[in-house]
Amino acid sequence: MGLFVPCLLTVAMAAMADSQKADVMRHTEAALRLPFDAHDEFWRELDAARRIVDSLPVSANIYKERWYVLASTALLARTDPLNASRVIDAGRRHFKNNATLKMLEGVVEEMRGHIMNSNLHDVRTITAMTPTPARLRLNYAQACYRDALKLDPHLAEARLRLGRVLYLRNEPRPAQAELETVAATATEPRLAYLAHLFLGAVAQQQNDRDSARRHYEQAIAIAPEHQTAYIALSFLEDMSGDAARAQRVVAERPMPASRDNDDPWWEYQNGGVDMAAYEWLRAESIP
Amino acid sequence: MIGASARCAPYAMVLAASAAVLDAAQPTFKGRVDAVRIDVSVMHGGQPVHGLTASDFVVLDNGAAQRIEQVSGERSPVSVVMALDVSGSVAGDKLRHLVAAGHALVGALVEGDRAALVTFSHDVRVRVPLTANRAQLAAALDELKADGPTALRDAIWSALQLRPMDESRPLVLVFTDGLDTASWLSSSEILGAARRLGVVIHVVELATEQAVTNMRGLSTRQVFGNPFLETIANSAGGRLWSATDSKHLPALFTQALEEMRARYLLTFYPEPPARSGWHDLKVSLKTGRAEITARRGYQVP
Repeated sequence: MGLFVPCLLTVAMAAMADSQKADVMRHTEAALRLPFDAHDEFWRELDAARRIVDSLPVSANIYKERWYVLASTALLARTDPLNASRVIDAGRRHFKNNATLKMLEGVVEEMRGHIMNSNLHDVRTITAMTPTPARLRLNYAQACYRDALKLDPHLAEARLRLGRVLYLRNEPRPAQAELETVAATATEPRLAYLAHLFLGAVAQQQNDRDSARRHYEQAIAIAPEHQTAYIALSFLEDMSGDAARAQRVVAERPMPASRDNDDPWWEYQNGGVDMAAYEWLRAESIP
Repeated sequence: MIGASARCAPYAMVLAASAAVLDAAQPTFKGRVDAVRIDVSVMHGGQPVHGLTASDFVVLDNGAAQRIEQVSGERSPVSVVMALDVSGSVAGDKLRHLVAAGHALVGALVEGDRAALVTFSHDVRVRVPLTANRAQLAAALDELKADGPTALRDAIWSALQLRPMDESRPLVLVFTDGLDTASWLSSSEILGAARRLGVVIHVVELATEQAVTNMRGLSTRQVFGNPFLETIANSAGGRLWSATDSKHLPALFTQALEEMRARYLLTFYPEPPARSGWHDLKVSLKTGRAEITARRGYQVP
């Protein structure tokens, strides 16, 4: 009897946590299904999920951590850096050593920079080095990515983003070093694709057209269905004086029938839901 | 112009010229430029001026007056690449009107003309390469759906790459209602390409009209557009039409095509022979008042 009661209590608590997780997913999925412009309803559903998440027991901390990551990326995917920042702050109050949340702080800053100036990647903007508010955001982003890498040196996306931001801040050599590391070690094709795309841009900025071409071609080899590497290569060919090849690159680009296989560049610029976190949470939420 | 305004640089008499080498009408480079062809629009009171001859034009190449060898174009076939924004913001009535505008343009094509269809949200798609097959174009227009963010600059680049390498006159007609959020290429890269490639770019913009209160507390309606669009149209010797209601799109599309048809193609052999680098061009009329739109120069490799 003495053992039976705590045992029952544990089972009851676990059952309650399972039911709470199911509620979290109900609200989260309801939010994710909403149309892009349903900002208020989206925030309401997400906030309802967050309140339940915060009431979960300490034993569900991994679940909570992942939920904060998912919620932050869902808000970034809706170009809502303000609320994403709020969710990240709330998540970091619980999990200050979570490298992904720290990196997402940087993503918020990068996104804010791009909203202020959609031409931050313009070579003239890069080399002008004018300390505009948008560039200041890049400085914050850079600091966040470095901090995230201190927490987890293997967080490849933080390194990729650090490399990109260093390039945008006109620091091509350190940018190249970070991006080459990602290109050589990334296990996710999307990160390797972006690393080569960004390395191509760094080489192009330094007038090293052969290296730029090589990187763009490597990006195409990794993901022949994505458009951005073709655009980048076509432009490079035209700049190199080969207009016919520039036209051929665009003409020969395959047009996938489905648009599900989104180019990682778009997600990089506009945010994307962390589907791995979503799938994990979903599996965990089924009693 | 039906509820819409054209925002092109108001050139009077002598226009801040522009001109450049049409890619279709690309000069032959044999160490120097042999022939330069300039696609020029001459308008007066919003209407094209017809019947002009070589003796009516003045062309200055880096300040040096040029002898115009040939004026043609009013009857030359047009190759128009439609680059249509089908991002999420275009869904609903706007898309319906846009499809109708595409059909209107296809319907206005004449013998010898060709058209291509590129659509873009974040995803830039060449739906139909240059063709004279109107049924194929019409079928592709009827399949359009709207969603996603906007990769305007990447779409303009792709559309420019469909330019023909023959004697027809290339026109890229861009429609958009939004700001670029997803392009790889930057503004200066696209503007540079627009100057370099010599394709006329016309832009039809669906702008936002909002009430604005001035310092005296008076409320007026103002149109907010994307400044990049005006810059690219001017750089490429084209025009920007700004509408605040999508139902005006069909009229604007055909107007853009008619404007293209009414343009003159001037050919001259640079004297002194053109050296490498950028050449400023100024085009004007010897007499009379008109708005002249053409490219601002050409590049010799």
